[in-house]
Amino acid sequence: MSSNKQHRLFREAHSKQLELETRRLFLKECLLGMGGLAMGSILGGCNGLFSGSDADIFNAANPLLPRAPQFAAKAKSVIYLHMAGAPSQLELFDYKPDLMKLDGQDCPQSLLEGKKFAFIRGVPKMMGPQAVFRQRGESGAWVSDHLPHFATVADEVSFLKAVQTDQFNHGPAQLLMHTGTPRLGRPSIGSWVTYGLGSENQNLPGFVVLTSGGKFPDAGKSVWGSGFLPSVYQGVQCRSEGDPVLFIKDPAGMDRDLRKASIDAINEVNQLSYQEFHDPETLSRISQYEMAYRMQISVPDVMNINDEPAYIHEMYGTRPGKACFANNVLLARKLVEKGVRFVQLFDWGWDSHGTDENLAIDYGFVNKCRSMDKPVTALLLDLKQRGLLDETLVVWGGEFGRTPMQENRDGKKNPFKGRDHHTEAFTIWMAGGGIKRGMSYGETDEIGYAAVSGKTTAFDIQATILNQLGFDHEKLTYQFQGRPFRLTDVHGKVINEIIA
Amino acid sequence: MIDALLNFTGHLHPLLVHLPIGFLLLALVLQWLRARKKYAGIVPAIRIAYGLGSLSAFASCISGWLLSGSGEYDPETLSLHKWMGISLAIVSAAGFYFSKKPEKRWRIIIGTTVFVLVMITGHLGGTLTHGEGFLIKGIGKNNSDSSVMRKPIANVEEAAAFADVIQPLLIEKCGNCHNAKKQKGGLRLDGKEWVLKGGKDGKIYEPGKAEASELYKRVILDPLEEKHMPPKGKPQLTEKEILLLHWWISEGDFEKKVKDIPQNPKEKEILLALQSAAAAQEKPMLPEGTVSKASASVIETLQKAGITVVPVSSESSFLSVNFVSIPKADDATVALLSKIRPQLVWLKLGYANLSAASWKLIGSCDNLTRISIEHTNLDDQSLAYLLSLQQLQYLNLVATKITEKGAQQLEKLPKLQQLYLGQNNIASGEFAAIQKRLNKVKIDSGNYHVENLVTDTQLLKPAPVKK
Repeated sequence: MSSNKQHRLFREAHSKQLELETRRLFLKECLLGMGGLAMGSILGGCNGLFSGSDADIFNAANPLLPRAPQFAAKAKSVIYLHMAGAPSQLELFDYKPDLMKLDGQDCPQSLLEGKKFAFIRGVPKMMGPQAVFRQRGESGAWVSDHLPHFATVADEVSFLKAVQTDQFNHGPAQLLMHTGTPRLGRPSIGSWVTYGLGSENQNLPGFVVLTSGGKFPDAGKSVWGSGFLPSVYQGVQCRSEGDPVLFIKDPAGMDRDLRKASIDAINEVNQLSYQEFHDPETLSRISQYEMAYRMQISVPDVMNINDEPAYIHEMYGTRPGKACFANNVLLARKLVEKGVRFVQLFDWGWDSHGTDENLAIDYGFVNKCRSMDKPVTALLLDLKQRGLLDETLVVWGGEFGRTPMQENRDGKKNPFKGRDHHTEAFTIWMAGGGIKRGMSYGETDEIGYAAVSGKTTAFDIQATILNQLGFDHEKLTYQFQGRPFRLTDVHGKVINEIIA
Repeated sequence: MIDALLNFTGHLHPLLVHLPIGFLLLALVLQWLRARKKYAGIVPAIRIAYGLGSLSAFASCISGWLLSGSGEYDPETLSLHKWMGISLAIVSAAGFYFSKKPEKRWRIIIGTTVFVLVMITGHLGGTLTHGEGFLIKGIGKNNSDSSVMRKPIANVEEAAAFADVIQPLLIEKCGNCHNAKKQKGGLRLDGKEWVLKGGKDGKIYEPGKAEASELYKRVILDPLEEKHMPPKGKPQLTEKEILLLHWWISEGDFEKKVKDIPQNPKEKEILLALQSAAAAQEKPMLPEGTVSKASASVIETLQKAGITVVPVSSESSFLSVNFVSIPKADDATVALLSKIRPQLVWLKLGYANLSAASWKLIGSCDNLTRISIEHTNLDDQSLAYLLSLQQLQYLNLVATKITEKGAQQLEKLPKLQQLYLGQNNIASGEFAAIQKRLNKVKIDSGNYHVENLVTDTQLLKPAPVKK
């Protein structure tokens, strides 16, 4: 009996062993797996019937091909002027005469309780506006004397005076402004726009970044990164000094024909690889090689401001050959004229804490205003006289505002006058691209501490920018990690009040 | 008391209906198993399942009949649901009877009928409670069609307060349950007469008294209250919409225009936002009407030539064309536009040197609303070709060879709104005359300058500190 049992066990083990080698078992075992795979493709995988969103619009063969927006749009391109470090709204646009009356007095406890500041400790003193304000133009917008040129075009813009954020450090706040989250890893707004619209000019990238002020933004290159979007959509950083893009020139001894021949050879190999494996990323690679070849000519051409007429240079106050904000602003106009979708400018140096002369609200800050005032004014007028302002959305702003209190770093008096980071209210303005002229939306309290009405957030600004370009911010999505992602996540409302 | 009891029984219907579904489907499964030798003794169980199914189906019919008296449902669907339900009860009773008989044929016919009836009756019941098309709602791409699009308001002050502002709001937020097909609480909100009539509990609208009107009271009730409207889980009125409703009931009536009703600043702001929200939905600078789509092969030909061709929006067949990728456009490339003449609405063709034939071709693209031909060889003579463009609203002629005389001709363009004339052969003194002639057009003469100020290049420095 027991040997019989042993025999049966042995036989069973043996047949199991053999089964592993039979075709029958293989097919049987595969059946469920195959069924599952088939089911997946019937249901359309993550992008199909049950994903609840439009399929991705990514076209791997030619990712930068121009595409139609969701609805006919007023704006075709965007110039985003980011004053990195956060300029003081209280010295430029948000006029608070009542704050002057409190100048030098201790800050009331009610404004400090439960609040956290980046550097202010203990009880700081209040600080009145360090600028002379006047009402300008027909709209009567308040603009300080720090911006004598901009004051003449104040009627062209819509001010948002009650923008709020929840990040009081530069890096996270900049990321929030440009990627919709204070943490790393999400695509920036320029990447989303290029993903949605492609590039109008097939010889130029769709998203260009220019920096000035001697330092990169604190958040690093992530503020123009493409996150989980295909990397062709990340911002292309161009330099305004030397070669606009590193290694754009052919190496010494290599002529244009040899370059062409080598790219053709590489593409031929890639084409063979595509024929064998049909991987769309290979097509993407081929089109990138071709575009890079065309860009070798077109980028240095568009990035060269020397052939602009003298009166344009005078208008912008450029300094050819040097790296400066004015040059970048002129470049931004040239790029937009050539069909670049999104031009992002970062100008560092607006972080007026009062810790040294360059960061003093009454010295360094004034100098920053002087370097910004003329080019920005020229940009608005130049776009206007070229008939481009209607279709170019210009956005100006920082990542947060500055406190109505004078900064007392670690409870001690700072050597110069300065203000700390402030999240509860700051000013951003937009112009052109279907935005109202001479509008002011949002209000702050008597001392400019908190937003009172017409509050807006980074998400609202992002939603508005996308809206002007023809996108419903809730519907421009990308499938990633099993769910559709969007720039504004679960937030954002188009600011209809400033739309013409 | 009896009424309350009957009502209660009626409300049990949604619970009861699930019993026959379960019992009868079980009966069908058992019946299917019956053919196998192993399950030969299953017959009594089939009888029990059919019996219980039939009994519960009858109970559902009665409770359903009591519920239907509330009159909140679409009568057509209701009647179909009722008769299907009654049939199901009868057929399942037959199933009970035949389950012990040997005739296999009858059992199959009855089984199939029961299955079909369960499915249809169940679906109709679902349609009654969740609304038409509930099964496929949210699947596929067309789910946005079910939401009501608000009619854009071009000028809110001139709009009718009820018909243009309040009615769309009521339809969007209340229309799902208070419409022509379904009247929860006997109330319809899709027309003036229904709002005046009220529901089964009486009037909902007291002119001039928002706080006394059920229409407003229900909306501002604590959302946790049972009587709060719209019910929990359904899209709620926004704060602004509630304010508008209050404004309309207390100050307005069904006939008045918005401008005839007093508005406080807050209300004014909300009303104005309606206008700009609507304006944002309007299509910017597009001709009226529609055209057929340009063929894909034509578009490909243009793209191969380096021309950027994109529809103005993903739904539109109108095309926006840009020559920006071509350093110098010539007559041969421009000639390709003849293939998309009806579709072409926006054209960007700067820095080109073209012959009369090309300008003539552009002038024959009747639907053009925007043209940018800055820095081209266009002169007064070739400009004449463009004067037939009835839809043209935006014309950019910066740095061409136009003179005052040429610009004067543009009065023939009936829809022209924006004109850019900078850097032409026009003296600054001549613009006044042009503006006078083209009195409706916004003319930009360019030539802007930004003053040079001493402070522009000066650096402000603190006085050196004495040690």
